[in-house]
Amino acid sequence: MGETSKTSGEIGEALAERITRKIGWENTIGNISVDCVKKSHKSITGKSRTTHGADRVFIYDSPFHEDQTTVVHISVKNSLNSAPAVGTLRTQFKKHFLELHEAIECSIFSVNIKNQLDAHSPRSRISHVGLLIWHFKDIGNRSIREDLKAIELTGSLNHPVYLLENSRLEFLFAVMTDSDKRMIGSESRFHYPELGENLNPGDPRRGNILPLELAASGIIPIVKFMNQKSTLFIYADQKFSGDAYKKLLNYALLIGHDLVLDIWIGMPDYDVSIHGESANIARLSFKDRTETITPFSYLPTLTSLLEG
Amino acid sequence: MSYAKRLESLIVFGPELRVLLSSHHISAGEVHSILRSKGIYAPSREKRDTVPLLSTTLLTPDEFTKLVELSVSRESVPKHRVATMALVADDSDWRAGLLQNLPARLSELSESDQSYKISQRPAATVVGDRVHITYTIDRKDFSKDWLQRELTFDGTVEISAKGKELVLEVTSVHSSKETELVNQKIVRMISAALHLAGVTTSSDANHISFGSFSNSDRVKFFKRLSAGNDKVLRTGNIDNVEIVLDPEKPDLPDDAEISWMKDIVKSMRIDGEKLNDIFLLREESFYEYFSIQSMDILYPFAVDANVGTCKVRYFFPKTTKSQSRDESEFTIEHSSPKFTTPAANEDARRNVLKEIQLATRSIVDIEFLRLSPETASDD
Repeated sequence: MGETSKTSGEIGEALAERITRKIGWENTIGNISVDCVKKSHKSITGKSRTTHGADRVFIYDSPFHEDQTTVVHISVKNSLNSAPAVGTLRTQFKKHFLELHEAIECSIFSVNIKNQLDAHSPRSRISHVGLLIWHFKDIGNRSIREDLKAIELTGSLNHPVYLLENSRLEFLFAVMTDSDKRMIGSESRFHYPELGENLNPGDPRRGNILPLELAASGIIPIVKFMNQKSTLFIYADQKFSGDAYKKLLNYALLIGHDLVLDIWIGMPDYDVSIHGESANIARLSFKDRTETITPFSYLPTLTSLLEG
Repeated sequence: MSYAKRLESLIVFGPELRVLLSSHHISAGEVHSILRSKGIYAPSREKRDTVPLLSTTLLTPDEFTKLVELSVSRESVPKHRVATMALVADDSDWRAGLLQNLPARLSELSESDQSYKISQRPAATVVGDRVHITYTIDRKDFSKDWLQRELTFDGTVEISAKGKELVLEVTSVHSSKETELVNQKIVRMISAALHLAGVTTSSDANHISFGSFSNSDRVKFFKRLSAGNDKVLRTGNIDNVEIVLDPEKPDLPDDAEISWMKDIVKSMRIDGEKLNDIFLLREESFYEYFSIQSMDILYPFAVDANVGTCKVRYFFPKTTKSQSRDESEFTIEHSSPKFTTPAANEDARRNVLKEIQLATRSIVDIEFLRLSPETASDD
């Protein structure tokens, strides 16, 4: 039993490391030891903790708040089994959540964390958030988010926690895999829509890092430069419908800022033979815009041969 | 905001989303719910914690639709009206006559003022044995906050033959003041078109209006609506009724139950649970002294395997100064059915609501015909 846990833990770590690297989180820091500073924190055996820390930490400057640097405390949980029944799932989640939250509560006072931050030259405001990467082996891309929605989290919570579970991880993997195949040789960047306030107009709106806020959104904008031309890709974890596609077109045209003339909209299930007519009708809602817009599916199927 | 952005505001993000989420149109629970669906756990359920987190993400189209359009539809529940037209003969091809004369009239339909635009023009289509006319208006109102700035409303008018009777039923559905008025124009066009084709006896449709009844008949009419139709809707409980004492009949009878209102009460709204047998509705001799403005009835329903309750509001809308109260048209408003059987899927829910709407319209038709002196038997 101990052997299997170790292996599943190692697999989880490897998975997390690779997927974060795929979204541009190159410098995640592992093995930071954090002293426990709160008497109320207890370990599994019930004794007071002396140390804890998240599995990894990632630091980035927020593209949405000009005065903020975000510190992501990452906890990775991997199971070689299928997800348990809802009741057990919720209990496990609460345990993982509280464990991570307590780690953050002590991390903000940790010298080791401070050293890492200082090395980054942070902005004036530091935001500490949690990220729980939770993967189950046998559930493919099924989402557990709805089952966990109704959970009551008691106690004083100060830090938001983001959950990237199977469906989100599969989405990120599928999107980055598809993006790597498109316009090979081009320069590829994540695009940062203006989501915050008080934005410094000088701040670059693109970069190599996918911010956690967008990773958890289910919508990822990517810009590719080639031959002095920009192409905007909007990947959406959104099944096709005429109305949904119109809204994605709206996003694309607003985000593209009249600067991008070639737009691609990626959905998981777009099939030109079924959805083509609806897509054309939806495009007519924006008939006074001259951009070229191409819908496609980012999950490879036979009908994707018909694209472009 | 640039002109381009205003036009294309089908979905918003960033500061505009923040304004929307902070507004009273969206509840704290709704923001928290979408945040959780995205897998984001905020420090609390309060908007001061949830709104900044959610507005720094991008909502998927489905999430945005669920958030906004459901909250908007709270404010614009569809209202149904029924009118009838008598056919000249039972073999008259009313559909052909209508389809020949109506399109030209519909193309002349235009906005009555600048506050709205007809964005999808009305056109007649045939659906089964019914003629169906739908259109969409966009309301422009730049004085209100973002959510009200551009709202879209649909209007529908449907014409069908009523069973074996020589009567056409014209049903209009509207959800805003603009579509109410446009529907009225369309119904007038339909009546004119049918009369021109020689298939109907009159160039005006018979509307159910306040003035169609005597006080007595009106009370009887409302009361009988609670009986249901034995199929989809069973006998309902009256749980809200609004009455107005007739100023032209001030001499109330001496019965203690009613005499106290003399010279004191002008109108009254009674909110309760089973008002079917209260004094006002029980004693027929009281009926002539007051008029019913509105009544809410809670019906038990059964459609296939789906069972539950549905509240239906029947009312005469309040009229403006320029309109006489007699012209106020009888209107039906259905709330979302509440299911006691396990939650049905979206399609089943829509179907159940449709069946309930058909049932209430049919009950209204039948009871109106019973009371109406002109609709003599057609045999």
